[in-house]
Formats: sequence, C-alpha cells, structure tokens
Amino acid sequence: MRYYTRFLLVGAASGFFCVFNYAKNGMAQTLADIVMLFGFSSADCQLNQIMEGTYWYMPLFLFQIFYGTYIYRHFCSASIYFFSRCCSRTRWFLKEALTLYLFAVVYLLAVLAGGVGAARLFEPVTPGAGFLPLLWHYLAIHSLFLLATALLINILSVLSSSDMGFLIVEGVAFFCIAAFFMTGELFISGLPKEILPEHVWMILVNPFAHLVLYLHGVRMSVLDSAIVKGISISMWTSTAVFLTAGILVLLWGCYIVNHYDLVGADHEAEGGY
Amino acid sequence: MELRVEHVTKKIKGRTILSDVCLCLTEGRIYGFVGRNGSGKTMLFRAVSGLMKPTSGRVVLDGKELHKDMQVLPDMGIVIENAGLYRELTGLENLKLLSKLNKKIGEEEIREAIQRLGLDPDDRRPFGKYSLGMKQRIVLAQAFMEKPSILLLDEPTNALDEEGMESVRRIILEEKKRGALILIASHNRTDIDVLADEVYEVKEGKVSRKEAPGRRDADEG
Repeated sequence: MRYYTRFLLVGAASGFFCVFNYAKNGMAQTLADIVMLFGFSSADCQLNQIMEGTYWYMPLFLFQIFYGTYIYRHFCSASIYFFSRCCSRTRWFLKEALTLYLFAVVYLLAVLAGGVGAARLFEPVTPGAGFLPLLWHYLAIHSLFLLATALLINILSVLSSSDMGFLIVEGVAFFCIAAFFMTGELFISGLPKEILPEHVWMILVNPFAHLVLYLHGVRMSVLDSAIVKGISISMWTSTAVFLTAGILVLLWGCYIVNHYDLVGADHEAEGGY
Repeated sequence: MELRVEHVTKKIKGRTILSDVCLCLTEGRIYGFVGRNGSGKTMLFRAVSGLMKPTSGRVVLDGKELHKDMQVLPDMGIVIENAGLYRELTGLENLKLLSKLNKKIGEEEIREAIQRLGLDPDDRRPFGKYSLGMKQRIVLAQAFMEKPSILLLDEPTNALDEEGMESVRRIILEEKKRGALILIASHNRTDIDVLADEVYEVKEGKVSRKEAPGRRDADEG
C-alpha cells in the first residue's frame, strides 16, 4: 500500500508540469479552467491537435503505468503463499478493486492540486463559475475510466504478462485518441465548429470522447472556441459508460482470479529465487 | 481429520500431469512422495491444496469438497519448490504481510517461527539478498508459523546444510506430534526414510504406494 501511495506525488508533479505553461499564458485563472484543461479542453477536435490531446492524457497514462500492477503483483512474488491463505479470491479481488478506485480518485485530486500549485505561481486562483458540479463530473468520469483501464491492465497481465496487458490497453487507448482527432478533422467543420447529426455517433462510440469535457456542453471563459455545436454528451451518459465498463471488467476479473490455476512458475519467477 | 483425494486428474494443454490419483490421508501422520523431476509431485501438492483445480476428480476434507465448499484447504501451511517471497521486503515483513490475510497470529508468533528456523527476525536485509539456504528457511517459517493442521512441504530441505536439514526434520517431527497431517515430497532419501510413515511413488502423474520405510515402523513399534 505504502509503495503505491508514493505515486500520488508523481500525479501531483505531472499535474504541475502539465498546467505550468498554460498558467503562464493566463489559461488557468480559475479552478474550473484547470479542471477543464485536464478534461482536454485545449485540444481542439482536429488532427493537428493530436499531440495536445496526448499531452493532457499523460497524467492518466502515468496512473495506468503505476497502478497497472496493483492486483497483478500478487500473482508474481509469493503468489503461492498469498493465495494459500486467501479463503475467498472474489472478496479479496473486490476489496483490491475498491482500493484501486480510491487511489484513482485521490490521484485525480493530486493531479488537480499539482495544477493549482502551478497556476498559483502566476496569479491567485479563484473557483470560477460552476466549479463544484464540474469537479464532481470530472472526478466521476475520469476516475471510473482509470478504474476500468487499470483493472483491465491488471487482468490481462494475469492472463499473459504485464508488458502485454499494458500494451493492449494503451494500444487501444491511443488508437481511440487518434480516431477522435481524425473524426474531428473529417466530420467537424465550420466556425463555430459544428458536427452534422448523422456523424454524431462516430464521436459517441469513442470512449476517449467521453473524457473530453467540452463535448459535454460545458463552457469555460477562455476556451470557448473549443466548443463543438451539434453534440452535447450528457455527463451522466459518460459516467454510465465508464461505470458499465468498470462493472464488466470487475465481473471478468472475478471470474479470472477464481479460475486462475497457480501452476506455472513464470509469474512467480519475478519475485522468486 | 481425513483428507481424501478421489480420482484426481489434471490435464494441461492436452498433456496429463496427474492421472486418477486416489489417496486417503489422516492427521498425525507423515506421507512421503518420491519421484523423478517432472513426475507430478508439485502438481499433486497444488491440486491437493486448492491452488490448482483438477480437470476431474475431487479433494475432500472432512466431508467438505475443495472448489465447492472452500477455495483452498483451510488451516494449511505450504512450501512449493522455487516459489519465493517478496524480494524487496525483509523476512519479518514478508511473514507479517502474509499473516495479515487470515489474522491468526501476531508479530510475536512470527518472530518465534523465524527464530525456530535459526534466523534473526531483526535481519534488515531484503529477501532478495538472502542466501538460498536463508530463503528456504524463511519460506519454511511461513509454512509453520500459524501452526496449521495440514502441511504440504515440497523439497523442504532443499539448499540447506546438514545442520539445517537436521533442524528442519526435527521441526517436522514436532509438527507431527502436534497432530498435523504432513505431506512431503523430496529427492532426499534421508528425508523420506527418517520422516515418512507411508511412502508413495509419483511416476508420470500416477501415484502408487511403496513399502513403508522400516526405520519409521521400528521407531513406532
């Protein structure tokens, strides 16, 4: 537990470095602005903004690196001795998943705190309009995304290896990021930007789009240009998407840990003799 | 206490690892298992403990079936060859972490278990820096520390010097006196001769009874 707590500091540091340049340019005047930045609001929906989107994905990416072994580690070192004492693997797994979720929430708060720290170097930060509901939805959506993806990395690692688990999940994640900006390039046009109703589904089926707060009809003072007309995803829809994904991964994980035979020495070898 | 292994077969990727194994084991006795490398001894222990689910057959402890009424054997201590502990933690930290899972014992009992195996519980070196013999001792300490009623010991005297082997054999006999049901797999002929009440040979996944070692019978006679 202590080992994983230290990564919260890394989260705060990543938040600090992400916001620093934007705060210097006056783009992080309020807490609401900072939340919106972490919600990809500075990444306009067009292909040349793909690096911008990747930049703001970094704190989430780091979480997946650090916590992608949170459950899997028990299948490496001492797995025989650990699971020989574990009367109910389901109960153990659910407890670990809950702790992982709490880490996700606190990590996001640490990232925000780091961002606020960077902004405060340049000017005092005020809450801004609608900060609390925005924060609530940001935490709900992004924390469930982190839970679902980190859990998935852990489960795939149990089934194959940590490298493979991480590569599969991040491969899909970066594909979704690329697809989002390509979709924007092809189907969102004009000024103000507008997406035609027949193309809206292309955005809705992309999980990454549900992390992008400006698609949720949320407006902010300095980034109005990012608003896309013709689409407004409900915050509750995005929460439901990741909640459903989290539950499905959780159920699959329960099945895997219960049916996993501690036979081979491959996983154990990492911590063995 | 009676532990029955009924027609247990395990196949992995089409290969039969255990074939129709039947055993009836009772408390206060030591069962020795001999066989060549890869004969299926370790797999048998994994199947008996519940760490691996048999393809067919069942393991029953006092009428309760493994994987149906319970996930692993309750109150069990296990040592599996080549299975280590957390490399970055000290011996004491490792055992404290594992003991937290079922909360049967406190730090005092853990320290006693480590000392019983001839190690210093205050040794600050991480497990990864231990010598092979020390690793084996700390792994044995984790198996004995909760005074379990079932002990599955796969090559318990591996990597130990003569003195260490003697000490471990003495502890195993003490555990037997306490009433534990003990299964030992060993390449060390002396381990089996000195300790086992009944000896089984594991060959290509099949388990068959061998003659009981004379000395054991003579000791008890």
